[in-house]
Amino acid sequence: MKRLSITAWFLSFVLVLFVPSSSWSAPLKVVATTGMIGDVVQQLGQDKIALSTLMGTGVDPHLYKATHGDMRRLQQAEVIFYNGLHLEGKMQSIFHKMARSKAVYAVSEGIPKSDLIHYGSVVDPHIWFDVSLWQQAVETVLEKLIRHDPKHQAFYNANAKRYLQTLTALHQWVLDQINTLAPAQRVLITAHDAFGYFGRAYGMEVRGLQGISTVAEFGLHDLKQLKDLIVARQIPAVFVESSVPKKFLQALVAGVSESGHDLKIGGELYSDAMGLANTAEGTYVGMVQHNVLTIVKALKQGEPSQ
Amino acid sequence: MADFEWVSPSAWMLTKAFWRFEDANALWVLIGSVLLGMSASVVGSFAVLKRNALIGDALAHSALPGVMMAFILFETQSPLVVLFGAMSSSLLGLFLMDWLPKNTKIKPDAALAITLSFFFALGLMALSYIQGLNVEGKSGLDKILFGQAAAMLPEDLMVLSAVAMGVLLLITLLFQKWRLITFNRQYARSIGIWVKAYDVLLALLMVLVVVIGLQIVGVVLMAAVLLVPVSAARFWHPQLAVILWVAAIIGGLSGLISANISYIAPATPTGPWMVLVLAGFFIFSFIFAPYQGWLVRRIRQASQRSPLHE
Amino acid sequence: MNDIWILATASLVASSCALVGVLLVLRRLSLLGDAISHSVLLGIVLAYLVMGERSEMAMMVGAVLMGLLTAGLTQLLQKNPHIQSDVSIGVVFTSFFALGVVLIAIYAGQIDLDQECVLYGEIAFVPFDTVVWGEQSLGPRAFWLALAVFLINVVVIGVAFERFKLMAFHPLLALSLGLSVPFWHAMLMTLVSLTTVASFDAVGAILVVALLVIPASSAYLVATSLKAMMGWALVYAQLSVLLGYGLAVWLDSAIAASIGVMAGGLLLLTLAIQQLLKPKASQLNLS
Repeated sequence: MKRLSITAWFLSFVLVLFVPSSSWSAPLKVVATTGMIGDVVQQLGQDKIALSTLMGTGVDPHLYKATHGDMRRLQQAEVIFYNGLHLEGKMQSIFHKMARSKAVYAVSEGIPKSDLIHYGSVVDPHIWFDVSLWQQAVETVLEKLIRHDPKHQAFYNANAKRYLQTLTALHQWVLDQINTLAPAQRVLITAHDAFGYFGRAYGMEVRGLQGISTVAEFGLHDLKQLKDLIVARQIPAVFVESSVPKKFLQALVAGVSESGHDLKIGGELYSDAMGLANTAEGTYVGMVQHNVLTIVKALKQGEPSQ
Repeated sequence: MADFEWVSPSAWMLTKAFWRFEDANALWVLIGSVLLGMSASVVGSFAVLKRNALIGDALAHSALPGVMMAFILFETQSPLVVLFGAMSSSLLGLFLMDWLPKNTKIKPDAALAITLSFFFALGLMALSYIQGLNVEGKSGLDKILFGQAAAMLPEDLMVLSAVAMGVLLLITLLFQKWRLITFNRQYARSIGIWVKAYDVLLALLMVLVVVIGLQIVGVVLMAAVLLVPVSAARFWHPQLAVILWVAAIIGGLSGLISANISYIAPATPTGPWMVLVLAGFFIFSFIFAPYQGWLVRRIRQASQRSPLHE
Repeated sequence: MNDIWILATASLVASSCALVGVLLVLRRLSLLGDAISHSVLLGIVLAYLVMGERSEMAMMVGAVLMGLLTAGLTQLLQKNPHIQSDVSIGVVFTSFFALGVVLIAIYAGQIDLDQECVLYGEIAFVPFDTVVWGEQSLGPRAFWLALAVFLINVVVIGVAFERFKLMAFHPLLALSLGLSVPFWHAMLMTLVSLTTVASFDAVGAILVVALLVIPASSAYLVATSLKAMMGWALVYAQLSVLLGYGLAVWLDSAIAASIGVMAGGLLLLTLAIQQLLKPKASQLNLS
């Protein structure tokens, strides 16, 4: 019985293979790897495209396990957008190869090398935390959408214009928000190094407990170094990320508190994945706003009340 | 703004600071890793003697599907739920590992490998299902097997010391019984020892130590600390009681040394260094231990041979 | 077509793993696959440190060499009568893995360097990673890699079948017959290392560890000779791949994990049938 139904499934999928993948009226089939990219594509394409996102809500690239359906989605996609800069790990080389026969683009491709943050021979992939850099990714998406679906050019252009204006305003808003902090307060401490671009764009010093690699561990010395910094600078809060266990920073907070300095966990920042669908944090703009408000609110608490 | 430039104190200064217990984190890690090192190596001894040395690795991987199931059911990663899920599926895994070699032709090592890969595959399948759910708080589920020793918290210490005390106390009290069961099962049964109950108790202790240690220090260190100390201790003495003592000392010392190293030098992760220190103890015992070390055996061989040559 | 490429690749990997797995299970080295999946980290890190950049080829070579070193060192330790085989495996892979993490911390702190994102492949994406010769696409790279490894396995095991058999069942006899046991053991370990690392690259770690040991164990339950055991292991492996793939399609789950689960399911099914038939079987043995 079970085998029978599995056979039936098989047959149905073999049939799908022979059905032409796009007809004239169908919307452009687009696949995005991360939620951030998916949001950009959705903002520009709206109802003129059919979007699916591989790493959906709350799934960061480290958690991601490809399913059978993902393979099918990639196969049927007409345009594929990925982040690039090794964010997708080993998938990146596959995207490179797919690009020979398919429309596959890294949204980071339009960003000049000099604007990227380099650590030795590798590049920090977390470009979306600098809103102005992310606008260049939006331009890339726009250009590719028009190239593959020229008859909706005007529609895409109008949406992009509106969205880019929103992002320009957002960029300014973030700057203004961060500027409300005293220069000495502008230190962002998180568990792993995801906020390099954020720090550079908005003038915050960024410190992390461990490197980028998922197997990396920190030692007591690294912990002590960070604790001394926190005490010396009187930093009021550190931040957990959605993709790294909270415990690492809890140990830091508990250790600092032992030495008499009052340190809090300032809240949770979205780093590699956005919030749930259909919530404010489930969009790029909402995610950035959430992060910035969390940071500003928590770091201001250290201000002596006058 | 006074620019803060962190000047690294000398290793000696740091060592002194470490032993004055100035740094709270260092103190917690020191106590925690010594406790874990001692209790895990004692519990692990019985597993190694039963030729189940990699049971820590297998139990740790078996915990994954339980954690996933618990998340699917309760949609939270609160410690109790995770513990419950991990315990139940590790116990199930332990049962399978134990049942297979006793009731089929399958050998213990294959039973371990089967359980490990089957349960881990189940866990990953559940994980791929979970990522499709629109639920908050699923990030970090894949990290359940990667605790970090340096992130030891006072709460962890409470749990760890309770577990360690329980383990060490029970094993001291029931040592005679377990020794008998390990080496002469039939005889133990014939003199009226309820073998099954002691087996189950030992298994429970094992699962408890693994599941709790796992979340604190991660899977690889857990596997190592269960098997390396006793394997090293067996080069030192033939008697089980002495082996357990030596194993506990090696386990405790390696926790102490690695915490110290990790405090002194930058970029020295505590957990991996503990594994390396354990490996160092193993190599040292392998070569220099007085009972079955390489050197002693060499000398013994030479002295046995020499009368013949003369 | 994509489904067929995935199935073909998985089936080749499963066959290679089943063949090698039979020999591992018989020699009580079932956990070697799991051990290698951890110790390759050190190989990758060392390859990175030597080359100074991420080079896939160098990392593959580093991983295979480290797999070989794991197997070799394990074997060397076992020569000591006071070290059990499981202890030797455990000591070696935990220290290698720890050394890998320590090296990452010291030299490569800013690099996303681990097996997951460097070495382990994702079977769902096998069809997209194609080999191109001129303008012509020749099919997935992983497929050709799996085919090559499978052929090497078939040839070596075919040529050395009698020797492996002797070593698996009568090691002392093998020695007394003048068989070069260390050489053939090294050969087997090379096969294991090559097969596991190449399969990691094609289909990911979990599937390899599962396919090395589960089909071979199922076969161990039903077979009475080495030849039959290999045959049964191949059958179980193919069934696991087909049914597991069906499961992945049905539930939209990860393909490799589903195949692993199916392999375990088939083993449990075999066990259940055997347990049910047990009284009969014992009668047969008596007669």
